[in-house]
Amino acid sequence: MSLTASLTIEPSEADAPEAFVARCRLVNQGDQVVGINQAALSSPSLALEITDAAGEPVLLPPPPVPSESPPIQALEASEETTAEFAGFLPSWTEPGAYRARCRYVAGAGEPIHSAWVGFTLSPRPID
Amino acid sequence: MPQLEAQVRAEKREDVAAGEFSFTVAFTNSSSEPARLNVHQASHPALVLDVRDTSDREVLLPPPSAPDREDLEEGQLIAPGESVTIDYAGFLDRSLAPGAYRIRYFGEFPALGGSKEDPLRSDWVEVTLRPERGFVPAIEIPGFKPAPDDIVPKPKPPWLKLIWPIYVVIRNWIWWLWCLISRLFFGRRCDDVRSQEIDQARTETISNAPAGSEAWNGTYGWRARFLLTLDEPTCTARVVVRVRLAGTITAAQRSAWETAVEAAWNSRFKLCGPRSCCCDGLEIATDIQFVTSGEHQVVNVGASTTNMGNWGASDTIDVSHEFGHMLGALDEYFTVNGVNWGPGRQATGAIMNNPANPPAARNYDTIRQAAGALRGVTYSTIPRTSRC
Repeated sequence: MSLTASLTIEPSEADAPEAFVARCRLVNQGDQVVGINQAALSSPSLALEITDAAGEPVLLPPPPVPSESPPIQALEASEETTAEFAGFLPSWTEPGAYRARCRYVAGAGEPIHSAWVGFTLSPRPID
Repeated sequence: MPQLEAQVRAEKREDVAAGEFSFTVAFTNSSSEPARLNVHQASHPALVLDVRDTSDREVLLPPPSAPDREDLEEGQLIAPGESVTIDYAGFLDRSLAPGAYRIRYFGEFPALGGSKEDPLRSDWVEVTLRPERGFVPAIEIPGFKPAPDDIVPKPKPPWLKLIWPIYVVIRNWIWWLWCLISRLFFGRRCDDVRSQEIDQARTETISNAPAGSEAWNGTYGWRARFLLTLDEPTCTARVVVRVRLAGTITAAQRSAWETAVEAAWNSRFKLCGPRSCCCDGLEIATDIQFVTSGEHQVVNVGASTTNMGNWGASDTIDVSHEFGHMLGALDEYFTVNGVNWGPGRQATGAIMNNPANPPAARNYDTIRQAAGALRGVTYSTIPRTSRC
């Protein structure tokens, strides 16, 4: 497939899990129209993979119940689409260094991944 | 004198569990000029509530969350004669010693309605906290079984159907008699109230998602956190989930969430078990409370509901499903932990399959197990209208 994925996380360091915002960007690098399954990008639980400093996966809560027919968006050649996930990190996450990547599951085949992006949840300051 | 007047009211002041106490402050502009109040900032209990014990010692509250953009704004204008109200819930820590306390609103900054020299203060509200009984705070449920016991009633043979009502009447009568004897001769008071903070790890693996939904295949994890109170005098099992919101939401939208969630989960099932004065069970009542600190969960407010921690501001359907996860319920679509439920949003599916529908008994299983651990008995979950 001609799709590529990239991920940005802002800020790169914060002391509250809800402060992080992830943006997953899919770009159609080919010269054909590609159908994007928006359902696969509808939840951080579906579109983000997170690991801790030891490489252990950080599990996210389950995604919502899917609708009967997935919404498909036509992505023209060289066009892009971005999914934004504010507050994607669960509130019970311990402080530490983490990395995440965007995952787009196009169908039964291999998912498309972005590169890993690091971010740090620092301890909350003691008042 | 401040332009605003602060009046407090509390629905329950006597024999309250610390974690459940809530009260409301109504701010009225009694002057002839518009008055300013930063409602967002004034919603932080630690910034505005003055709590004292019987010796007039200050009771320290948990720190407020870091100030956000709304905290730093000027606040809203309240026209002459108009009022706004703020609800405060869950700000008294469960570790507080039982006894009498008094609480008042005390704002000593312009954003909070007063100043250092002339603070805005309400009258005191007296509250009596009852002793907390049970385990240490926030436990995982001992011996927790991750898969719910989906008890399917066995069909009764015709002869048993005929005598069953008679059996139930006799059994209830014997139980009532035993309660009476216990009270008269053994000093049983039937006033047992015990609370426990629950913090239960939950995981589920979704598989066999159909074409188009392959992204749902995967393993998910979360923590079911709530305060469970088994209240013998009222025969209720109360479940309080304190939620801190991150993001912008109107009071009407927040109220719509609360109405939808509690309508979905309340007045439907009860816990039946032995060794209780509640012969006909403990009705399960859930209560979602929006707090600014001491939360069980953080919910980010967004355009749509995308999981348990991200709710759509205008959504009143899927949020009730996500609240089910907060209570420990698993999903019921595709294959979850090896159980095949079929597609999502089936017309007859329970709430964890179709968020528009009511829950099934099994969806309360974490509550059932927590209640059993708290009382040392085994409960079953049955419809509220059935007899235990």
